[in-house]
Amino acid sequence: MNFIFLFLKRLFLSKQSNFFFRITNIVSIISLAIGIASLSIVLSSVSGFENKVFDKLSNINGYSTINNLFENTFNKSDVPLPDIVQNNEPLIFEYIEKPAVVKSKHNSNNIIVYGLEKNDLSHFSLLQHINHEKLSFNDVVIGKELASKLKVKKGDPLILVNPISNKSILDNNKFLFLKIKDIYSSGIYDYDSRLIFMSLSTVQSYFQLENHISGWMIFEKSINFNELDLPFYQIDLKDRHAELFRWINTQKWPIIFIFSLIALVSYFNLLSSINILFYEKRFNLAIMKTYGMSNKKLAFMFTLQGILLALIGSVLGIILSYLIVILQEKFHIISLPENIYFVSYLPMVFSVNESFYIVGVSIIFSIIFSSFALSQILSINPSRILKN
Amino acid sequence: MNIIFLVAKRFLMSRNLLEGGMINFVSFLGLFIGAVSIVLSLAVLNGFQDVLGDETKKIYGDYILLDPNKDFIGNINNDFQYSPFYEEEFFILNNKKQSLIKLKTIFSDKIDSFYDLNRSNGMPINKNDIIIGNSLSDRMNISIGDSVAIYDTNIAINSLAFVKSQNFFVKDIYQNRILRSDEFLVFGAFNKESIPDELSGIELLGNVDALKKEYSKDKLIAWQDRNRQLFDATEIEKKITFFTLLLIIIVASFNLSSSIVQISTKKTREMAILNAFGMNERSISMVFFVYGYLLSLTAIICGVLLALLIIILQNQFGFIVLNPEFYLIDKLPMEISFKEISILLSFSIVIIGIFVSFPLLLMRKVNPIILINKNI
Repeated sequence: MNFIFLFLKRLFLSKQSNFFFRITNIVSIISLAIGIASLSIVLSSVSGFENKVFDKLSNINGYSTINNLFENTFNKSDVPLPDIVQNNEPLIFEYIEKPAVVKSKHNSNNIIVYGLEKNDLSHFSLLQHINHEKLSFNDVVIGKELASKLKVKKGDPLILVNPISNKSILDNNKFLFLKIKDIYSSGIYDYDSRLIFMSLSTVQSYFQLENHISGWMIFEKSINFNELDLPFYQIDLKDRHAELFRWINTQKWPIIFIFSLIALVSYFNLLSSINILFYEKRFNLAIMKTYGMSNKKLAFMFTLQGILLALIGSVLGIILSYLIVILQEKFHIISLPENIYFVSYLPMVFSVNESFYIVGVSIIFSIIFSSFALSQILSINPSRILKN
Repeated sequence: MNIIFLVAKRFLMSRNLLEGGMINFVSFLGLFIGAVSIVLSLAVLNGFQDVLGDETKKIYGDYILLDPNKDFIGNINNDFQYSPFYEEEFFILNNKKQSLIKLKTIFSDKIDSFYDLNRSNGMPINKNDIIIGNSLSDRMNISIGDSVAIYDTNIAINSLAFVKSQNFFVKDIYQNRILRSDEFLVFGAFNKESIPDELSGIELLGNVDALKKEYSKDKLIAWQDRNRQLFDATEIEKKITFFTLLLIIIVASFNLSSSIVQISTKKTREMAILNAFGMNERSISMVFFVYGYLLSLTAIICGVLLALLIIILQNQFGFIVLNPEFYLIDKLPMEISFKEISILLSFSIVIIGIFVSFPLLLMRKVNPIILINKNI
């Protein structure tokens, strides 16, 4: 340990050292810190974006759903599933999904109705602020974009129509008169402009689907029903939105590769630093070699310099990226168009594990790059240097 | 040859390549990688933006004109093709499955002459025929020849309200996944006896310069403006990519600074001799300045040339293949403009200028006699 401290002191503080040599070391550290910080920020952004989108979608659809392969809705008393489902009841909710048309005084729009038990609504973080106990038969919660299209606000009336209903045109029950209980904003345009929430019994009653449901939403990642018999199947969030997550994955690797290039280029500075160290200390090295110091020990000293510079640069880079992640999460400095990216700002999640990996890989790279420079050092001819 | 340029060139291409070559090579490599990666990344983003444009135009045309009166259609004088259309949302029902669709009704002769739908069989369509997208067909289990019911969602809420419905034959299935069109966009044909009084618009393909004088941008809307947010997002991605990849040039410029520092320390004696022969300090600084620019511009130009070669080879032979089911195309698209290369070179020249000047400022503070005496 003392040897390393001595080495560090000589590296940066020695008055015997050339001014340019010290500057080069600092330049190496700065460029390594920039390279590592950019890589770490990109990794934080990629995982932050994936997590945020996953969280947003799971708030609406749960982590997975159980559905019927052939029917949009089915009579739940006709299937054996409820027994299995009841064992995990607190995290598994029945739901019904039906397309319909909703009309306000000003406008009409096609929508998807989600019918859920009142108590289950509390598990949707979007709807947690609503007093579910007071949700009456005709209450509806709609999205911000839909409210804007229909030009309505909280408390306004709405009419729900099922255009495919075979009820008589003179039947008053053809229309369901609703009152807007609340307006939610998920930040996902498709949902905010289409999806409305109502109580399960209201939807079942209006669509004449007593005891029918579309399936179960599962709000726990670990619940997997591996032995479901056809026609039932469980589909998780990533499969339900496969195209979106494939798109995220497709973007992920080229971005990581390109930003790794920045880190890679910053390692080239290590070569320069070692080269300058060699040039500055060539007389000392020649003398040490004349006195019998082995190539192995000389190589160790240069490798140690590389490792120390890489370690300091990487740690500074990680600290810098951590600060940027905190600032971005707090002030949302980098904003995004929400209806395209589902989020209004670039979300970032700092991962300690990833940071350790980066520092580890950085040290390995420093050894590799130092060894390039060592090829020159090991061919040192003491007599030639001392003669000059 | 100018003495400054000659000395700078000698520093760059030292006679002892093993000794001086390493420093130069390291700086060269960093800037070279930076230039290659910036040009290739921009080329790929441009390529995908073009694919987005081409595929969108196949379904929506180059422009939409929001002045859809029938007289205009009759008197249209064209350097361009046009297709009047009427678009409305409906429910589609098949085997207990429902979905929301947009029915775009057009003149039947326009289906192949104006639009490029990549249809399965290319049969002509008539009144009561529709062409649906591949994804909608999969989701709703609809095949060619099936009959489907379409329900009007435009409901007037009064005691006599009723919902119009009509049966259509699925005449064909098209494949174009751009903007998820094949999930919701359905093409139908006008009944020539009952063309609606008010159309949704006229889609235009080709040179519409004549119309640009007559119509404002609110009436004559380009495909980019019809999909403004998506197009803006691709533009933002390009800018972010460009500026973040400039970080490679910045990091590599640190190498350049180191190289100048190293060369200056190694060549102190030579500089002192030149000084003794009458070269002033300013000229000596210029030697390192020219050396820095020679090294960096060579690296960046070589990087740009390699990237251009890769782009040409990719466009010619398509050696980087993609899965067309996901990317819409089977080979990686690449395109770069002269303007983008010029911007890259301009930014690089500024960045390099800063990083070359920095060590020169430091060097002015060091007395060469001290360096010589230290035998460095």
